[in-house]
Amino acid sequence: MNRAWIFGLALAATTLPTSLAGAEEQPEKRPVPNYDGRGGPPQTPGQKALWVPRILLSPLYFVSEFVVRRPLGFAITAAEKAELPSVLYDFFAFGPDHKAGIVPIAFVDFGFLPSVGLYGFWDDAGFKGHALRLRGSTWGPKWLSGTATERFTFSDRFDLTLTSTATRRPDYAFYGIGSDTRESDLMRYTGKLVDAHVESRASFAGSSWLETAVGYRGASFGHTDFYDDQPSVDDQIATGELAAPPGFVDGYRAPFARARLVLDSRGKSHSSTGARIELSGEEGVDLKNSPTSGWLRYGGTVGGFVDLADSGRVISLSVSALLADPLGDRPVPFTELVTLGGPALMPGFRAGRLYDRSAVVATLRYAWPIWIWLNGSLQVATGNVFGERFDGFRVERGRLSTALGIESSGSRDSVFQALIGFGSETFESGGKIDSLRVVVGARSGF
Amino acid sequence: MASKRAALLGLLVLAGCASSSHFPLRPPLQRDDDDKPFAKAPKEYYSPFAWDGANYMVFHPVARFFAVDPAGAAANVNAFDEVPSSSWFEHRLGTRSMTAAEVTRGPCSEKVLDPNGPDGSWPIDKGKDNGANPGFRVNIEGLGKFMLKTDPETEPERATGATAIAARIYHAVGYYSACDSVVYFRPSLLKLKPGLTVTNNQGVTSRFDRARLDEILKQASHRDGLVRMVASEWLPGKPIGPYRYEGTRDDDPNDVIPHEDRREVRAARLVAAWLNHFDSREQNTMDVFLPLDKAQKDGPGFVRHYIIDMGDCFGSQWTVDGISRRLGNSYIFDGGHVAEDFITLGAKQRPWERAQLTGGIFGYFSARDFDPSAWRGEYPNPAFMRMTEQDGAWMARILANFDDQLIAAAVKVGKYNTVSERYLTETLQARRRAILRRYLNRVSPITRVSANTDGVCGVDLARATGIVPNEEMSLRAYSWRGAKLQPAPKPKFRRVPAPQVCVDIPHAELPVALPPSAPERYTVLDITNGYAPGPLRLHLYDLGPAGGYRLVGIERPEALTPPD
Repeated sequence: MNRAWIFGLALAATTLPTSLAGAEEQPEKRPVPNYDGRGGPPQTPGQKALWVPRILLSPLYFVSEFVVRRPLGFAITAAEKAELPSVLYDFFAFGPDHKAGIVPIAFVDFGFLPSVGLYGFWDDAGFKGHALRLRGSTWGPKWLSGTATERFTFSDRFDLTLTSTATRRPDYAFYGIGSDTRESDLMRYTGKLVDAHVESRASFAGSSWLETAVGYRGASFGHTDFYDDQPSVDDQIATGELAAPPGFVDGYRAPFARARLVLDSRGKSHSSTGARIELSGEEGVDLKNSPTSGWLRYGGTVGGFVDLADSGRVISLSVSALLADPLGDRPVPFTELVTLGGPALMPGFRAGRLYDRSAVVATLRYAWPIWIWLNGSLQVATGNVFGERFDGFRVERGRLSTALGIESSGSRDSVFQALIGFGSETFESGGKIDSLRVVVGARSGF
Repeated sequence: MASKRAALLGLLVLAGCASSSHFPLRPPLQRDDDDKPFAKAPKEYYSPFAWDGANYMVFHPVARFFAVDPAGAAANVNAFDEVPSSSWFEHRLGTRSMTAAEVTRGPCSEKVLDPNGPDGSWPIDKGKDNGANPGFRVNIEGLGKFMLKTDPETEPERATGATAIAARIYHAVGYYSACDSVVYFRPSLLKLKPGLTVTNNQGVTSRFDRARLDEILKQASHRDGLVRMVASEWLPGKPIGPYRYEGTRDDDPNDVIPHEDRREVRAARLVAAWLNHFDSREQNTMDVFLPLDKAQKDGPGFVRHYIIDMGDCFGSQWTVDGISRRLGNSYIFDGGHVAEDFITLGAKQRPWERAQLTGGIFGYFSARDFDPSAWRGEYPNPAFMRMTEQDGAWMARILANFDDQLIAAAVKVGKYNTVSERYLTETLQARRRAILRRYLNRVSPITRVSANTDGVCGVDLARATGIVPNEEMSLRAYSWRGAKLQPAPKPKFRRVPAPQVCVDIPHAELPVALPPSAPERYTVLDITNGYAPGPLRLHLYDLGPAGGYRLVGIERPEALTPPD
C-alpha cells in the first residue's frame, strides 16, 4: 500500500510540471546534428560497464530524483513565484531592518527526550544595544522549558544581562552520588527548576573578563513514569534501595550570588595561542528549608592553548578543580553538587551522570575549523568526582571521557552541536567504556 | 526474466555499436545550424533563486551520484575537436587573431552613450533595486535602452570596471555578452520619469523617485565630480529568461543538446575561473528571442544565449570575510570540503586560509594559490562539473591566443586608476598562465593543423606560449594505415622552426582507381610533443602523391595507446 502511494505521488509530481507546462503543444525538435560525422566517439568498455552500477542503483536514483528532487523543485519554485520566501522571511524575521525574528529549533541528546521549540531574537529592541531573546522548548506537556533574556550592552567592554528560566522535565537522569557509580544505576526523576538572575560582565585586557551575578534558584523533584524500564528515584527511595539524595524530597529555594574571573592572555588577535586562568565562586542560601544553610561552590581552571601556525587549529590542555561545600548543617542539594558530564566538563558522559562534593578533570582538546561557522573538536579528558575536598582522590579512580563533534562558532546566543562521546568506568574497575552520548541540535548559549 | 536480460544485453550491444572510430571523408561541421527560425517565441523561463542554490548544493549531486552518469565527451564537438559556431558561441579568438581595438570594442556597436549631451538627455524610465548594485534604466530615443548600475559602496570602481572588462573577455573568447561600458557623467544629464516604482528581491515595491535616485548617485563612485556607473546596452530581441546549465528548452526546437553536455558551456568554467566569476549561475545568463522581423516580436525567430552580469569578477567581497576568502576555492557550503576537513582533523591547509587581501579594490583576487582545476563557484554548476580534460584543453587553446597585450587592452576598458589597472593586468596574465600550464600539459596542445601534399603541419601552443621549452627534440610520431589500422612506416619530422610542427608521411602504393574514401586510404598519425602524455591523433585520407593528404579528424586522447 505504501509503495503504491509513494509511486503514485512520484508519478504525479514528475508528470505534473510537464503536464501543466505542456498544455500547449511544443514545437518539434530538429534532428541532432552528426557533429563529428561518425555519430559521436565510440563508447569505451568503461562506459559500457557503467550500466551495471547504474541498474543496481536505479531504485535509489528513482527516489532521489523523482520522489525528492523534482517534486521539491516544483514546490519551491512555485513558492518562489508566489513570493512565499519573502512572506516567510518577513514572518520569521521582522521589525526594522529585520533585526527581530523567530527560528525553529530542535535538540536531541540520546538517552533523554528530544525537544523542539522556537528561538526568538530582537537586536536593538527599542534602542541600540538592547537585545531580547526568548526560547521555548517542549516535548509534550510534561517537558516544558522557557527562557527569557534581556541584555543591555553599554559598550564593547560592559553589558548587563537579565535571565529567567523555568524548566519542567520528566527525564532527568540520576546515577547516585560518588565516584564509583555505574551506568547500570540509571534512575529517572521529574525536576522543576526556576532560575532568575541578573549578571554583569566587564571585559578587560583583551579577552579577560569578570562576571558577577545575583539571583534566585528554586528546584523541586518528584516521580516520573516516563520510562518503563528505568526506575524512578522516588520509587527506589521508597523501597529502600536508595538513600534519598540531599534536597530530593524537599527541594530548595535559594537566592545566590556568584562571580567568575577569567584571565586570558589571548586577546583578540589572529592567534589563539596563550594561557587562561578561570576562578569562580557561588554562594547560595536555602531559604525554604533553613535560612542558615546553603552551599558554597568554587573552583578554578588553568589552561594553555597553542594555535598551530596561527591557523585556528588549537590544541589545549587544561586542568580543572571544582568543589562544593555545605554552609550550615544541611547537606548541599544534589543538583548543586559538583557535576560532570553533559554540556559541562567530560562531555562523554550524559548530564547528571556524576555528582559529588569535588572533582578534578584534565582535558586535552583539539579544535579546528571545518567551515565558516563550524569547528570540529576532539577531546580526551580524565577525571572524576570525589568526596569532600578531593577525599578519595586517586588517579586509578579516574574515568576517561572522549568526544568528537562539530560545534557552531561565532554566536554567544545559540550553539549548534553534533557530538558523539564515550565515557568509561573508573580505571580501577577496568576502565571499560560504558557510556555513549550522542547529541544533535541547537542549545542555548546566551 | 530471461527476456529482460536479453533486452538489456541488446541495449548494451546497441550502445556499443552506435558509432565508428573512422571519420568519413568530409569537411568538419563548422557551423551548427541552430538559428533556424521557428514560429513562436518561447515563454519566459522563471529562474528560481532559492531552489537553484539548494538544488545544486544538495539535491542534484545526490541524484546524479545515484544516476552513475560521469561526464563523458561533450556532445557538440566536430571532427576537428572543435565546437561549431552556433547561437551559443561564435569563434573569434579561437580561429583568428584579434586586434586590441577589436577586443576593446567587444560586443558594442557604434551606438554609445554620450556623456557630453545636454542636460536631461538621458530619460530614466525604469528603476533597479535588486542585486548588489542598484541602478536605473535610461531610454534614449534613437540610441536605445541602457541599464546603469553602481558599484557597491564598499568596493568603489571594482564592479563597474569588472562588468565591462569581463564582457569584453567573454566576447573575445567567443561567447555572447552584453555591451557593458564604464561611463562618467554629470547627474544633470538624467531626467526622471514621474511615477516610477521598483520591486526589490524580497518582493517589496517602493517608489523610484528623486530621493531614491539621489541615494543611488550618492552610493556610486565618483571622479572629478562625475558619477561613475556601468552602462549595459539592452540586449536585442525579446528576453525569455536565463538559460539553464542542464537540459534543454522544450519550447526551442533548435535546442537539442543538453546544455551540460555542450563543450562551450562546460568549458566556460575556465573563463569563470580565470576571472573568478564565482556568480556564474543561471541567473546571470539570458536567452533572447531574435525575431526575423523586428516588428513581430513573437516570431518567427530564434534564440540566442548570453552571459550577463559579471560584476562579481575580480574579487567581489561578501560581508562575511570567511565567505569572501572561499570564493573561487570552495562553494559557500561545500559538503565535500567540510567532510574532508572534519575527517582529516584539518590536516590540510586550505588556500582560503592563506588568502590575503590585495590592499586595493580587488579583495582577495590574486594569482597566488590559483589552481584552475580546483576552482569552484558559489555553488556547483552542473555544466562546469562535467568539464572534461578535452573540454578544458579546448578552452585553454583559445585562451592561449589571449596574449598579454590583449589582456592589457581589455583591462583598460575598466577605467581604473593606474595602480589598479596594472595590478589587474598582471594578475590576469599570471592566472592565464596558470590555466595554460595546467590545460596544455595533459592532452596534446598542438593545434592549427593542416594537411598538405606530403603530410601535416601544426603549432605546439605549449611551446608557443612558453609553457614548455621551445625546442624540437622531444617530438615523436607514429602512424597506422588501412581499414584495420596496421602499423605503417614511421613518419619523418620536417625541419621547421619551433613551435611549428610538420610531419611528412610516406604515401602508400594504392591503385589509382581506388575511391578517395576507400578504407585502404585511411591513415592515423599520432604526434607526441614530449610533455603531454597523450598524442595529437590525426585521421587522414591518403589521396596519393598528387592529391596529398586530406585531414578528416582530430582527437586528443589522454594516453598514448594505439588507435582502435
